[in-house]
Amino acid sequence: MLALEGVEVRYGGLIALRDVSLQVNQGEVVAVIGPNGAGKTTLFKAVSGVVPLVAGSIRLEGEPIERLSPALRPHRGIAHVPEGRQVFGDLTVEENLQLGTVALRDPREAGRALQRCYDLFPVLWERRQQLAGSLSGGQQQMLAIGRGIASHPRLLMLDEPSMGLAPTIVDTIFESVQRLNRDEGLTVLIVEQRAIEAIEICDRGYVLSTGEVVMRGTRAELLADKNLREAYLGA
Amino acid sequence: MAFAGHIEALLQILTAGLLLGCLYGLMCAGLGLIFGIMRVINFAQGEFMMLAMYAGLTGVAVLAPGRSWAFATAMLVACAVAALFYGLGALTHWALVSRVSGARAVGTADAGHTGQLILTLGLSLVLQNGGLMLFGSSPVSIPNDAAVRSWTMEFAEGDVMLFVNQARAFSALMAVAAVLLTILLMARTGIGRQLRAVANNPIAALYMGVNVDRAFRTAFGIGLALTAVAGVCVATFYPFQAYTGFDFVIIMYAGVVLGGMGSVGGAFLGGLLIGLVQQLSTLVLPPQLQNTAVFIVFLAVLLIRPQGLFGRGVERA
Repeated sequence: MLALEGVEVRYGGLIALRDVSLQVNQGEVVAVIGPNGAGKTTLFKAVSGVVPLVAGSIRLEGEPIERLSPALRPHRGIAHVPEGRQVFGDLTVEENLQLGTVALRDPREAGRALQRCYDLFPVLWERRQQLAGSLSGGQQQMLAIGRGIASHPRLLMLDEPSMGLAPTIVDTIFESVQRLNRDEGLTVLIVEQRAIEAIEICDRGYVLSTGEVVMRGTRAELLADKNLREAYLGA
Repeated sequence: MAFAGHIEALLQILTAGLLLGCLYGLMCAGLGLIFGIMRVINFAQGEFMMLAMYAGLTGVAVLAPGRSWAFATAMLVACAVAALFYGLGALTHWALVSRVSGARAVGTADAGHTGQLILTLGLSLVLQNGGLMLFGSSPVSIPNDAAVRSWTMEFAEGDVMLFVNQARAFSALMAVAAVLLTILLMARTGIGRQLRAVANNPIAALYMGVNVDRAFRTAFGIGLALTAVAGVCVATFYPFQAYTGFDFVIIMYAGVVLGGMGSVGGAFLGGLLIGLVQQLSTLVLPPQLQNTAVFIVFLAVLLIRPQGLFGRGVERA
């Protein structure tokens, strides 16, 4: 579904990603873990097109997208739920979700797409007329995910969905992501600092460190790796 | 009798301030919309308005050479000029402004503000002097039937009389209609929702698949169109020349800042307030000082509410 090959990104002279290759197959949950500053968010920005590639290629279902304008990529089926949620705080919950439907292929589907978000996160229905900026952090994260899936994406990219949230809320959010994957076959690429939780819900994972992929493997392989447990899982 | 005279003067000035204020408000709404969505201060807004005034003058001269129906024609011409300036705005954004704003400016150290300042300031000088070359320096206005007609209202058995110039009154109505239409567009339509999203968080809007550059282009076009309508309306009762844009742009900045940057309704009310203060000041100050009064009130308001009267402060990552 998504294939990155030899991706390199620089900020000025600083290399943020070096020779990163990564693959996400249809229906998988793939986790990218690694410490702060490893380049996880940059990886997502490269896929979304808001940072340019110096080298490498990005293919979505076989088609190269690295030259496609960032505004067109959601229309190809990529939904990016950014770090720190970034909901439109001055707009209502419903308006946020409606903006999620901009990239829908068939605009007549918008009503049903909103309903799907409300079914997944009933609290958003209760607060649909409220300004998104007035929601709690957890609710904003739900809204950010709802806004992402409102476009019926082929690939959902979640950047640090657990950031700044209480553990019980993180569980709720991870459960809903698993549900989307299990029940609807949604392909998910997730970036997390909370490595254990991310590995537990993924099929495969990559470990990123200072801009390079230092390890890759299935969930079982990652959980079994002693070095990884010591380095990232703190256990 | 002297008391009735004071009341009469006050009433007359309040009316004048309200009517002129509505037009200031419309100009401010145009400038404010551009700033609110793009965070670009368009220093050439006044010069675009001056061009719109000449466009209106030309349109009316062609369509209604005599004075009869000239005002109604001017209002229709104002709508056509709005469409024209929407196009001109979109073109200016595409050719010039987009090079120093939006996606291209994101990476630069000052988010493109220096480039925007120099570009729009330069544009204003080019347009100003271009206008001078093309149209000459003698003041003109759109000759029309309504400018020389007034309604007379009598109060207190004829002791207090109020004259309302018809060109000013209809122009103010036009301004209110244009602003209400814009507010409706912003609040109720899909394109308005996209514009607000882009204003709120352009990167997140990009993640939604919103074409941010096109949204900016739309905003710049609408902003110029609003100010252009105000220009044609003002031109029906106010003599103008190539430097007129500069006189008004000062008022526009003040109105937008006063209203609280970023809301169309707020910018309109800011402009309205400036019209009122400016006219009321003539009760106590010589007319040459009316803009001084405007800026004293302006500074006083900002001392108390730096975010403007209707603003919610700057909150932007």
